[in-house]
Amino acid sequence: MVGTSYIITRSFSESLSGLLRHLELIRMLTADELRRMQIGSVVGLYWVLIKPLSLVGLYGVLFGVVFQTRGGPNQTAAEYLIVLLTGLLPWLLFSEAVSAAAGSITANTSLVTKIVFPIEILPVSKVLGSTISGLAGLALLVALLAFLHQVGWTLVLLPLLLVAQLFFTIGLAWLLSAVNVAVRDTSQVLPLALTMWMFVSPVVYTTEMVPKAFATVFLCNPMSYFIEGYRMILLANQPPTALIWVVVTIMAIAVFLAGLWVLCRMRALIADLI
Amino acid sequence: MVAIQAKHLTKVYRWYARRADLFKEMLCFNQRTYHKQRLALDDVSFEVGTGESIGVMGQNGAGKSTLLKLLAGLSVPTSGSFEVNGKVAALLELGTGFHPDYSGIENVRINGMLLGLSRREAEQKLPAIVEFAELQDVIHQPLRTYSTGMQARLAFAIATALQPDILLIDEVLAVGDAYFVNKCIHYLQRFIGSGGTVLVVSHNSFLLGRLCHKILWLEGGRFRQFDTAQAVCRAYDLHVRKLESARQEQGGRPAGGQQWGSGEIRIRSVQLLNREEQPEHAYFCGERMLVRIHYEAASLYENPSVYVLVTRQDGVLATSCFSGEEPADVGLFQGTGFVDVVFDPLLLGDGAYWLSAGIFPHKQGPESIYRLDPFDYHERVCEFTMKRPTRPLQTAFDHPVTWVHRSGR
Repeated sequence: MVGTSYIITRSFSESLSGLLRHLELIRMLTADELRRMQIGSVVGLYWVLIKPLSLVGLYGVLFGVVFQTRGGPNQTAAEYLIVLLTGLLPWLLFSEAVSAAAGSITANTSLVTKIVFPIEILPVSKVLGSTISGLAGLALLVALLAFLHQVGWTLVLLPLLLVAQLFFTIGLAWLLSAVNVAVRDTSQVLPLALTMWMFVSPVVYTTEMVPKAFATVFLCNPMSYFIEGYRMILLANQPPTALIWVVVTIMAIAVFLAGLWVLCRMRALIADLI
Repeated sequence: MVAIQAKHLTKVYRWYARRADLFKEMLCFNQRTYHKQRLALDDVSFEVGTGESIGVMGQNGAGKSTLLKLLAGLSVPTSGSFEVNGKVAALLELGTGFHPDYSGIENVRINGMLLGLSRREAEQKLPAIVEFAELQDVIHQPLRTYSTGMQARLAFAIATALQPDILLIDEVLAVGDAYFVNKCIHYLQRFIGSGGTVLVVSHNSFLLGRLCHKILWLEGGRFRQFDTAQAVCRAYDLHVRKLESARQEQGGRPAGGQQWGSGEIRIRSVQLLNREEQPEHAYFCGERMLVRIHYEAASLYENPSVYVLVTRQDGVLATSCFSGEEPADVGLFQGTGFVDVVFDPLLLGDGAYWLSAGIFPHKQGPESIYRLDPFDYHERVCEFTMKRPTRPLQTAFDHPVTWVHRSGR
């Protein structure tokens, strides 16, 4: 195929550099994504806050009041709520983005089969759109913590952790959106899987609350490193440990590249299967 | 210079009964396959020069769209290869990625970028696109308020702004009103004139004849003919006519037709015969068609009225003839026999037609069909199609005319 380069036959490295060339397109689609969220509902942008707030309310009442979950003997319900928030908001950032992006290729059949289009852009803009709207909740949490005089200089590390999580999320979104074309059940199973994943991650509890016997569960779970990182930054005013940075960075890069690689390998198959 | 060169292009689609089979196949290293294969394109080779316009023709499932998808880079050939020299734009569907809630202008921006324009290019080309689509008045209104034709106009206008070297078009000119289709054709003709290469897929031999230098005819995924537009159109029309005839020969009586009457004279069968008195169900305009009505009379009957009604399948009453009205004496009906009604020349325009036939008591008009009992009436007893290979417009019928010219001195 001389004289013209086709996206469908792009190699992995071409796809990787192609991402930079498609930044404009990514930006446009992300803006479009944010706009659609607003257009689609009467409450518009308020959804961005209502959903996390109602979940926080639900888990807060369930674990803080009914189950009386506490981090320590002297922890009040309000203090537990803060612990819950620092785990739940980053988790929601991740899980909402993944579940939104998993169906992004299947939902845009015509972009795949009718026009020459870099399909790897679709999950990316979904994740970005979801993340940007989710940041509102996180910003509110930071404001609340600042009001309670609980944030320190470590806050500057928060964006770094967020970027790492973003790359991790995008990688997973690529993987799942590609698999979803071949196995349509993926988007059905995903909510269940994510809920299960949430409960094995230190979201509604902290790692200290769990018996040592279960420690390996957290060691094998990438999300527990992210959430531990957030808690250290936001609650303990400490920089995350070197282990957290190492694991988080490796995870982000590895999953990002693996996701794109799988999508590249499956691109021709996706075009015929979809 | 060669714009497109395809060598032994083959595309096999795999069909998996269940999606799980796909994974079995990917994961298991044994040689078992779990899919069925469908050969969409089978060893097709051809060459298109720069500045040429090529039509791709063939029946449903001939592999036309598959070919276009391969050339557009939307699918990968199973075997064979092709070379494309120049920037390719494919118009496989009008309005891919349109959002009904956004205004026309926003859709132009978004769609332009989806199709590969940069933000700035999309912005620059906006006025030209709106002008080409002739939607200046409504461009700020949401797309959902547009008619299908208007959306098609907008979509085509965006495609024109891509300024490719090679344009691949799949049957998209079928939507839109005649005015816009003409505009598109003029655009394409200018595009070809300025050195652009076009590959158009269409069922419409008239359109292809008007637009294309050469036509590639595919059948069942295989190469059938690649020749001048005129030659292929003619061959294709003949082929379709044969198929049509064969189908109706086998199918017998079309569905949905009713039959009623007192039965003193019964219609046993109705045949459509060509000049050679062979059964034929597809005619070119100007040919001779003979309607042969076989009857069986229970008793002697002098000069009954024979009625033939031709309706086009979209409901238009095309023509009718009634021997009681002409008046024509069809003579004495006795035992079995047949009446021939000759249409020569047959002047009906393109389309599919139904023929109904009836035998009525003497001099009772067809207006009484639904009030008075005919001896026998067979509604939609035959089907036939009309084709006019050479004429440009699809009109209801070909009126014979004479020409007079007086020079104005």
